[in-house]
Amino acid sequence: MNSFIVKGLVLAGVLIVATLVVIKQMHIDLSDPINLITFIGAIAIAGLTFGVGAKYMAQMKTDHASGELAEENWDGIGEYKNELPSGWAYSFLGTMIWAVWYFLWGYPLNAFSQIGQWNQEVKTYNAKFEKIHKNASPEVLKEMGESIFLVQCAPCHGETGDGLSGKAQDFTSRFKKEQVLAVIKSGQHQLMYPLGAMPAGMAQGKDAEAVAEYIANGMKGNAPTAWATCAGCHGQDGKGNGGTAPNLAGYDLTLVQHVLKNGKTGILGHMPAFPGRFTPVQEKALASYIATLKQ
Amino acid sequence: MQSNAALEYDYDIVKLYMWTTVIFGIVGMTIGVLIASQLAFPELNYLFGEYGTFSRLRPLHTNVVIYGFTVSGILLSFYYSAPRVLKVSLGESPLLKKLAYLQFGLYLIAATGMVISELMGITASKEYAQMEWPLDILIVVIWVLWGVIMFGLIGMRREKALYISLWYYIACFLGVAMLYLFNNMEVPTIFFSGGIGAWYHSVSMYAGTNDALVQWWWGHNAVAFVFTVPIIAIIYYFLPKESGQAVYSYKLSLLSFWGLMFVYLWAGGHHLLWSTVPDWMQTMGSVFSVVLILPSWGSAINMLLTMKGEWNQLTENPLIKFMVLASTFYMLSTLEGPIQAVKSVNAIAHFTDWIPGHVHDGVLGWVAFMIFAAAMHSATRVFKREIYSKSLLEAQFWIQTTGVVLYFTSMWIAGITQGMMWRAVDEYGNLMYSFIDTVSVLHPYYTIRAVGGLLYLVGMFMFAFNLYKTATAGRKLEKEPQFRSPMA
Repeated sequence: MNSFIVKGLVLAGVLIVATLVVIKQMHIDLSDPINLITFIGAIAIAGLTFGVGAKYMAQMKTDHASGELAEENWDGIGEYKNELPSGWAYSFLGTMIWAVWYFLWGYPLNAFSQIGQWNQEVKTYNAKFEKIHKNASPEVLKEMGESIFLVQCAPCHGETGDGLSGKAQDFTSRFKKEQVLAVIKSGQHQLMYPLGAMPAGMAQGKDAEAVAEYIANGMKGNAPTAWATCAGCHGQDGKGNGGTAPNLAGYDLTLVQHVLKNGKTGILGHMPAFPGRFTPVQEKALASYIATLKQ
Repeated sequence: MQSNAALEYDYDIVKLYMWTTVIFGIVGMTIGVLIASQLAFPELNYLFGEYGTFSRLRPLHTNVVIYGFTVSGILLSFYYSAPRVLKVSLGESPLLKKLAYLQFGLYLIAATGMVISELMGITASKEYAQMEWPLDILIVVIWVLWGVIMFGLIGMRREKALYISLWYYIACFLGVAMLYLFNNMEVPTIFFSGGIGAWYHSVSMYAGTNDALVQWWWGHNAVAFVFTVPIIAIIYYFLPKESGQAVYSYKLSLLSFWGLMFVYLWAGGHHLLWSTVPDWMQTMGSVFSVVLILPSWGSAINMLLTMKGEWNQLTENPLIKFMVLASTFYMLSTLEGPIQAVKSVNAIAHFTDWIPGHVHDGVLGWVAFMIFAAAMHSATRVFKREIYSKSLLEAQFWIQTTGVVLYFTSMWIAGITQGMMWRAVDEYGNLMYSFIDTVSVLHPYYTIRAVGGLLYLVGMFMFAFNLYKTATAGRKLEKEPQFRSPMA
């Protein structure tokens, strides 16, 4: 190889190594097929351009013009009748054959669907994911839950889960008093628990106040007498009667699943439903992480 | 060899476009440096109220460098070289010359209107087609005038066969005419709204995905028929002419030309990969982009092989340096583009800074370099003077080359990093980075890009000064040089 091509390839190499150093600093996984193909593409661009460019530069130094001149001449410009450079001609032919293959067999025009490809990839990935984490330890679940929370939930609920000053549910406590009062006043029918809708006005006036105070304080001390009405469905301990009604004492998997599936509208605003967004393992992970946020 | 001694060419129009090339070049590139700096230092958005914001200036930058600088450069090269390869002077037909003056006058009005309206925020909101309908109509008139003049000159020609450059100028004319008309089919709202709204406002005739498809059919082919085809016309004339070397292969010229013509028009769909455009159209855009590599490289290789054995010219003549480097940058961007159009690579590259990096390989390294070389070569014949300063030209070449390299390497690294960060996931499959993480990582590269742009702008000023001095103070030439442009 002559020195020009070597120099050209060295330049290409410097650019590629610099790129590699930067993306490695960002913990990019090059075994991911998309990342890998892109990186190979980048190597091809730099290597071919600098390499082939340098080859022709070298010819400026070592080769000399020759060939049979055409008869025509324009403003002093002549033209040789030289043959096509064979590398170019074969590459052109090669890309044309490849194009026909790609159209008809590789990604057939009548059969390939990007939505189909996406669905299939997601399905395969999720199946693999469920298998790996089927028996995940509580520590792994918590870590996974945090990772999901930061991407999917934090935009509204805040990175610490504090609800961004009342913009969304505050996971550091279960309820604020006014939230409980609002539910008692208007009832609650969105979460679709087996015990059904909670009617409006189950408690009034001072009773409602007392119950709201009790629940907002985390059900410490003696329960007010009106609590008996609530306990009928939510259980004496307020934990939701084995998953048949919402847990008022804390966040559990059943609650997280019901909210994700149905969405929720309360005095803070509206949270849309996210059915099918998470796999069962992810829901478990999310619930176990959210449960740790409560002080 | 035929002699040109008998024919005195009329260069009045060439001079006019020379000055618009310089003025729009300075304006467009200055705005470019400002908006590049804004991306690195956002405070710079607030220098001139609403008129200084990135969103207002970005379309102005692209429009001024494309329709101001580049189109002026193309027309200057056309009015200089087309008559010479046809062996007919524009001055021989008073009608065509008048039409050429009319075309220039309308062009100046349209370009000024474009700058003012876009600075005011009046826009049709389609990329590279921001001009509103009154300006669009003016552009069509200008373009038709160009066609009349081009075919008028061809009809008067004394050479039997058309030189390659002419094929490409004709392709530029026809391609842009068709694409511009279809993409700018728009409905001026005032006529249909019962007089509500501004008189200049319009909406596209197409909607949704169809609008996007037509838009990128245009958007990509604006690159084809403004940044590629006429620039190839320029290099096919100016490189052999300046070097005195015969074009390497007629066959290669021919195959590259028809290959480019056939393949380019289908590639626009690659701007809409992974979108709502039907899959088969995306596949088509992707495939034709890859096939496009070879017809593009064909022209570049033909030019590089034309310089076989001419190493001395490369080291001694800065104009040859500009044109040889332009060929290699043309190769770089026409390989980079198709690879970015491969679906898997596009999943990373789309929406990242790798794309503006790619565009600027082409426009800074190829388009503008060719226009600088063509303008300087023409200047010696148009003004009948020596180029004012060879060392200034040489310095311009190295400063601008450094600028392009900084631009292209910084955006290459930035874009790939950005794209990979956007899709990076942790071990549980959740996104690793938020958008702001990429912004802070990219800051140094944005700064490097702005510095690269600034170097290029400095070179633009050197070019402007050198051209002005050549026109006014260059040593007078007694005889028109046959090949190499004399320079002091």
